[in-house]
Amino acid sequence: MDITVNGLSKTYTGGAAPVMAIKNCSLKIKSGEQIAVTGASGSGKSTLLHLIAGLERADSGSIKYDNTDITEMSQNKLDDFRLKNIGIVFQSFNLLPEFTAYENIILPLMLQSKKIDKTRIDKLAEYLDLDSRCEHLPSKLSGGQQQRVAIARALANEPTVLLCDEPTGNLDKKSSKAVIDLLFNISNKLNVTLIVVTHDESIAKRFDRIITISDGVLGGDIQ
Amino acid sequence: MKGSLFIISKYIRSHKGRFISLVICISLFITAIITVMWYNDSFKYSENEKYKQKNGAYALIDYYVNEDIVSENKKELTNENAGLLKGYWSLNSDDQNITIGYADENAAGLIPITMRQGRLPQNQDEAAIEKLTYDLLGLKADIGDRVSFEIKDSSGNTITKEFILTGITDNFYRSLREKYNGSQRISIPTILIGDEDIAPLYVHIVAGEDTFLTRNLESESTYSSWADSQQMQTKIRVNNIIFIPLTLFFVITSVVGIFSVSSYFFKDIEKHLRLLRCIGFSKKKAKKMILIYILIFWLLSLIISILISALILFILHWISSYSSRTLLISAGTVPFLCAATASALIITVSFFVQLKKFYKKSPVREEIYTTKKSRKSRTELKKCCHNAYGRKNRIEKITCITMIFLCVGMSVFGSFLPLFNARGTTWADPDLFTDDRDYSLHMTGGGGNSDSFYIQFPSGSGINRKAADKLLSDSSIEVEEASVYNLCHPFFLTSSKTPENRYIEQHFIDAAEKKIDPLFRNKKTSEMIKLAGGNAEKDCIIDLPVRWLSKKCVEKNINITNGSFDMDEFNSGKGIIAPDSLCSVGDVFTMIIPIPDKNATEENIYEHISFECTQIKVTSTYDAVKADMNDLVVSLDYLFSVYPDLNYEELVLKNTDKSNIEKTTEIEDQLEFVLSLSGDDVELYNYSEMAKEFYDDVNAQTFQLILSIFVFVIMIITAVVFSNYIQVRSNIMSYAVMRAIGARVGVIRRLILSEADRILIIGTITGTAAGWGISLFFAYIAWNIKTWDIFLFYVMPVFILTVLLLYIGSHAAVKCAVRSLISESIIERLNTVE
Repeated sequence: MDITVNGLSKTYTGGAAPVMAIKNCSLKIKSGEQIAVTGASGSGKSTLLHLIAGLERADSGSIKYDNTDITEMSQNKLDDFRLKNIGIVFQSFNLLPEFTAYENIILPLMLQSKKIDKTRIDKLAEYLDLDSRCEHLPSKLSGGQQQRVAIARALANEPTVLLCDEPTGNLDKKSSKAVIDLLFNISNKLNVTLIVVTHDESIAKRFDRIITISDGVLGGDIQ
Repeated sequence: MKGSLFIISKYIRSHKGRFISLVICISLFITAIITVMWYNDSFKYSENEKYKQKNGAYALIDYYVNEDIVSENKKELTNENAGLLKGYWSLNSDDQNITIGYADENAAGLIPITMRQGRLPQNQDEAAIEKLTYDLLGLKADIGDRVSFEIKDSSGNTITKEFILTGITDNFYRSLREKYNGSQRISIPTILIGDEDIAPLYVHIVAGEDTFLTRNLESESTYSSWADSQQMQTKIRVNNIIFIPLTLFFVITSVVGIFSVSSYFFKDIEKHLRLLRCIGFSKKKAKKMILIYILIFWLLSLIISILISALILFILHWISSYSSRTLLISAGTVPFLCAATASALIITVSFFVQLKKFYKKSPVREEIYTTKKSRKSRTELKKCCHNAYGRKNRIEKITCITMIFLCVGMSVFGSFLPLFNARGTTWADPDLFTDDRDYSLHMTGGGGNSDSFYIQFPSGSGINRKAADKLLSDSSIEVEEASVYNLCHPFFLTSSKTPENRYIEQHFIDAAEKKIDPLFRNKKTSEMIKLAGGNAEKDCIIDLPVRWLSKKCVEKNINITNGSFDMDEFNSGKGIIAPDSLCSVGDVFTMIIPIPDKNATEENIYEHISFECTQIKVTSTYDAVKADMNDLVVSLDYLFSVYPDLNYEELVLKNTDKSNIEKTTEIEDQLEFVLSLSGDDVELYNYSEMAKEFYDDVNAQTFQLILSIFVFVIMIITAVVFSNYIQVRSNIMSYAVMRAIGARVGVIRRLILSEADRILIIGTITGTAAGWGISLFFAYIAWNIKTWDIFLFYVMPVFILTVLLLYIGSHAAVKCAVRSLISESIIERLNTVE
């Protein structure tokens, strides 16, 4: 799915003064592309990702997936769209602590009341080296394992877009490399558009395209 | 300390809603305990005050005490809360036993002597008069007017005494008279003056407590209130039988509820503790902080619960003030201290038990390299959530189910029991609840010495006929029964060898069987035989049972089987009604009625008696089996025509104008008047009042129960609602993650509601089974009491309403809790530091 962002703006109010997190951003992302979004802390890169994911509503502008403008959608339709087409990986994993790893992985499928293809999920878990830990609660998994569960969850619905917000932020160097390698493999294998927000330059350098953002404004777009 | 307070204040400020919900939850449970205990105390206090108002606050009365002993022990008696009632002078009247005297403050308080108008006298020139005495004397004076009385002084001379009327008191003579058990005709001062230091004719002591001194004073008669007050205590105990299970319900539910909510509160702050522990917060500091949390939590809950309890009690007092049973408030410190201590203990135990468990675990994370699986995964979202959140909030869920079970069960049984109890008691004592009568005057004594013609002494016994006839002539009064049985015992002439009829024959047969003399013999027997036209050698005198009834009484109560009831013949005394088992129409008897004159006593009876002889014929017979008697029924009017000084023995009256309160008061005042002029062994039963008191008791009990159930049910529903709210809020992060993945708000809401409904269904089914089961069991064992209407019109609506309120409340709580998932942005919710 191609993603077209046009004139996107987002301002946060509620504090002492309003903060314009994203200012008139426009960009195009082709289907299957692998993009890193970098910038200093507080530059607006996570906000941009959240807007593209439909987790927040922009104040102005449009975000189109192929020809579908998600900024015009109602909340329920947006939720449905996100569930079917977008996989999200968060920095702090955001796993449900009361659910086992397996249940966390199949959560998107359960939310759609879809029949669980156990073989596919088992293969996915095996691929992510989680097969022996599926029946454990997140509290019994290491950081790397938890992130892999989050990635598996994001892929469970076979999304066309995978959005990752600082996926290696809570991991050590070795685990970080392993996770990034995994993301690349998945993106290549499944032809999934990959957008990774990171402040780590060494990780960003591995991507074909790097978008920098500074004070809410898109800076460089390095191919 | 500063640090702990800072952390606590930050927590409270950032989680205001949750903190307030938790505090309110705990307050409700503490309120339940305090309210039910305060209510019980208030009920007992109200009953005691009512008892004192009606029966006096005294424990003991010594009648006719030796005056010298009183003078010797006066100070001690006063210290022991004993009062003096002294009589100084009798009014110069033959008919009336009215005394002028004095009642000291203690006595006035204990009896009690309450004022209808004005005040009690304060000096020797002032007097207050009891209402009945005021009416008896026919006084017309107003407060402040002068009244004069002719009295007999100690020398027997008549002198006139004048007083200023300061007040009219409520009637108290009768209740004191009823407690007297001596032989002499009792005197109690009903005109009270303010002077104590006059040589008394008699002294009574009214004691507030049963002390050694008062128990051992020489007196003509001593009354102890022990038995009467035991009756009242029994009533309270019976009431407790209903209240104790209720109180237990409240207490158990509250204890479980407080423990559960406290546990939940600790889990909520556990995340902070974990972080603090990581940065070096010692166990000692953590304990201090916990204690401060407990103190704030508990104090706020306690303050709110006291306010709510006081408000509930005040509302109950206000509502009950519109009924005849006002609930007087007694809010002692003991229930409050019990509830405060219990709640503090439970909260502390709950917190410290969890703190101990907390410190056994690692602060960072649990073991990660275990190969042991946590549990089997589910593939259906509902089952998944049920398993996941069920495990997490197990205690809260069990508590919730228990509360719903109790709530629903109690709504059924609690709405059934009061009405069933009321109906059962009514069924058990139907005589009290008949519409046929409102009052009865009844002579309790009867019979006498066989030598004295079975005459009742002293003369003038029975219900004063002159006064009674005046009352009976009132158009609002319907006479259900007017009779004499023991006060006049007629005799019959018969042949010693050949009885005139079967009835007389049966008399001889019965006497032979009982081996008693069938004949009546005394100094006057020969004269009686001669007067009746008999032969002293062949004839004899026997006594047969005769019931003297008024014509209305006959019409109401006697079922004629043979012959015809001729009113004129009956009234003339010539025609009588006899039992059909022994008599036939046409049977004749020769009746001799002994009539003593006014001056007759047991000693001089033979000189003061005359006889009325008459031939009587059976004109009709009655169904002896149905009437359950074998007496000859003779006209009361005839008896009064030949024996004008005779009084009534039994009067049963009905008030046909009950709705007119003024008229009813007038009738009851007149009844008191009749009673005061009647013999000492006449009792007045006010069935109206007794039934009213009974229904007041039952209604009060019913009202209390219903109110308690209502309060209980509302509190439980509120607690369930808050509990649901808290449980949802505790999982709000997980629901936000689901939203982030793409779950609709409606899907999440349905998920939560299905879990809430599951708890509701389990609790409702079990509660329904228990409540209906117990109620139906009671209905089954008391099968002769009608209960279908109670189930249909009371239990069912209350049950349905309770279930509806639980359902609506739970759903509302969930929707309210889930609101932030809609109103806040998903990222904001996810990023909220927990």
